Amino acid sequence: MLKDITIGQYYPSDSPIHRLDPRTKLMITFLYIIIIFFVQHFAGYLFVFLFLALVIVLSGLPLKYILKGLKPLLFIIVLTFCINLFFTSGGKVIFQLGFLKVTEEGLRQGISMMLRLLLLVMGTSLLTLTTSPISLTDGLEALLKPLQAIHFPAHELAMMMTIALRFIPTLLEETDKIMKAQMARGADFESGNLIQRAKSMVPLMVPLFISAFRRADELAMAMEARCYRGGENRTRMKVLRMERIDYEAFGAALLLIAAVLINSYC
Amino acid sequence: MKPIIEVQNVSFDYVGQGGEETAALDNVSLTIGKGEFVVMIGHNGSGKSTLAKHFNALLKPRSGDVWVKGMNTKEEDRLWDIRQTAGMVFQNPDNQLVANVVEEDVAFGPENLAVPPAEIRKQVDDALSAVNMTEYATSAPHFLSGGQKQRVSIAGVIAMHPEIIILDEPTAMLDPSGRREVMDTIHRLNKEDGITIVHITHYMEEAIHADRVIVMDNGRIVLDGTPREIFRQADMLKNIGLDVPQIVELCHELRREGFDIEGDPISLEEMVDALCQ
Amino acid sequence: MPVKMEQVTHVYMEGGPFESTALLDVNLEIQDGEFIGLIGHTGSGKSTLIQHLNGLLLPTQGTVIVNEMRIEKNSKDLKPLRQQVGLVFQYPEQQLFEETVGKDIAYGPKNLGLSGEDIDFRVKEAAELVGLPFEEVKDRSPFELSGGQRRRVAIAGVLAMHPTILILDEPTAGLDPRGRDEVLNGIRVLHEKNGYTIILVSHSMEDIARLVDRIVVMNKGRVVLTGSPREIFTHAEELESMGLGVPQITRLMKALRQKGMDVPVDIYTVEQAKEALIKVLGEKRHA
Repeated sequence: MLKDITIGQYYPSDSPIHRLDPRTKLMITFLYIIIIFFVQHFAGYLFVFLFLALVIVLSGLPLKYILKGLKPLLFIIVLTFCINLFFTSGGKVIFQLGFLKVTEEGLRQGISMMLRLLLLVMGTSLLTLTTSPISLTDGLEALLKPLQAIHFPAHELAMMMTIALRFIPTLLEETDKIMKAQMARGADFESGNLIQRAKSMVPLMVPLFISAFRRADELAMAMEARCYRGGENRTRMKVLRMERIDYEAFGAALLLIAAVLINSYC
Repeated sequence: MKPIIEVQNVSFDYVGQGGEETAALDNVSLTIGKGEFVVMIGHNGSGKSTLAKHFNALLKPRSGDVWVKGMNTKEEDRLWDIRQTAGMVFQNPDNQLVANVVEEDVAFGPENLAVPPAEIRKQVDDALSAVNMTEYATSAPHFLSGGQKQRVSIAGVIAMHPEIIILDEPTAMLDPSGRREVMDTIHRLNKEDGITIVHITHYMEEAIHADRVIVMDNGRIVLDGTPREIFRQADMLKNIGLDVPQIVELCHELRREGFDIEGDPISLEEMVDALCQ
Repeated sequence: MPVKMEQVTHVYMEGGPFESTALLDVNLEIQDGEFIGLIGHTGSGKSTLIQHLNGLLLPTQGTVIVNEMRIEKNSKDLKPLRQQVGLVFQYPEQQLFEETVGKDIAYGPKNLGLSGEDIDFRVKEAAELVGLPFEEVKDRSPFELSGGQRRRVAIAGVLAMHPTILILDEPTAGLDPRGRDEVLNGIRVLHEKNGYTIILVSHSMEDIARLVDRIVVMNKGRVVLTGSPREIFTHAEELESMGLGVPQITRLMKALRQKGMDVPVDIYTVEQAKEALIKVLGEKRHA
């Protein structure tokens, strides 16, 4: 039952987008998020949308797969739209029913916010869909490295992410097993009120914690035996290197930024 | 044979929660030669695992000395050389793989040793092919069987070009085919690449093809010899809670009944020869 | 008849991209008081099969009948079933969670809604059934015990539910010979003295040969062979093609037979081999 959960949601393929350096993708995604908030007119959204469409086409991902990712967020998107629609005042009143009042400005704000959210979610999910968790971690470590000068634990953070990714499936499997083992002893994880349910989790959580600590202990010993001594003086098998395609991607991103800024402020 | 591990009068004790000390090693001395295939047996708590952890400086003796290829494990500045020389594989295949891609995991050791990237690539490829796992290079560990995961762990050690591999019950959690995979792999590494093997196990059959068997009980070495010499002491092994292979047991039973059985057969083939004379 | 499986099929993640059939048209009957050894290569469907017997998994098709309870695709209220069929998973000591041995064994009976006295009685009884010195260990933390003892605490936790059928999945995995003997002897006593119906899943043909009345062999989701150890181990080639072995003694007898020695090949314990060889080699004995 727990095996159905997919984490990271990487969609393996060999498209130009997949081949981009993870640092490129991380930085462009970052710029992309910022630029969405600079959009003032609807034409700006069109530029962003075109950029996004280009990336989706190049990535070769099935559109259905991307849209499926939006499903859990549908509620929030609709809610945002409604809040902005009803609680923004200004401009001509288009529609009024009792205390609910829709103004021109409200409609504008509502649509604008909804578009922003949609573009935001789709853009960032493209990052995780086209970048394997491990190269995402590598990219993040490389980008955060300069911050080590101010004692930011960039390597440690990346190592933690790597280990988490490695152990999530193992721990999910273990949860499933312990749940079943306690159910075989008459445990009931589904009925009862909130307090009863929380109580019924104890026989699941305690063994899980004990096992996680044991695993951590053994893993630490195994890492030490393999000469791990932190991030200093460490090399990597896969060296990140910017290729032509990365510079082209940056070019496209700069074009988008210029278009949005000109459209908004000139 | 040139010695590669030397243990001299080593004692070690664990301090329990209440402050009481339990002797895990009691004045142990031992020399292991380069290229030897050594199997250590003993029941849980006999000290075999504690001793093995002294071979790559995961533990340091309370008293006495351990030398690995001439380096004393007490010398702090040789620590990483020692661990690179004596690699270690542990019992639980799930708790020793670090990365969620096989080749990235194998690269972990060489990366820690600051090997240049192009060389790491080569060492990783060689190590994976040495354990026959090349086709799984880009798989995620949790899709592999127990035996395959242990072979990846072995590859992770080989990629560091060790001279000794210490395996602490690597087969305890595996099914029979996984056990066979691991045993075949370490025997091949021993024969073809001359890597010294120290293999800890509960399974007596895994001792039959070793060069040397060391039996531990209560923190001491109680028997040390070739498999044939060790299994001759079937009664003593049983006394300290260990098994003997069925063949050896049958041979003892028949002798007790007054039959003359030539030699000391320990494998099936030898037993057939002995009985068909 | 306590257990009957009729054309049971189980498909994991039906309809999804990772769909896989773990059981295929399994028919199996188990009699009261039988000691069954269930063997099969990893992934042959053994774990899936045993989880059907106490309703942790429900059949995709077919019916499981346990003590007159019918379990089908949409069966509900499986608690009575889980009480009747005790399932001990691999490495069961990992499910221990209470501060003391006594409290941990009491978890199952408490879930059954028993009163304090009944619980106390069952806890003591279960601990003694697996050969634990109850007074000595009841107030100790399970984590202070040896591996073999911890595992027996976990088995006692299942026995305290008063099942009539006990299923054990690789109960000796990872234990040293001493722990293994403790656990196996405990299981043997449960069967012989207390009449439990037992299903033992194991990779060790030697253990299986020593203990069980009947062996059930699974391969690729199907039950392919059933019979007494004597019958099953004569199928050495078939077993090997499924990635399984036969006891070393059986292999020895076959090898001797090939060399022309007149020994029976349906033999699987040291004791039996000794008897057989004494007969054949009689003349070689010292005076």
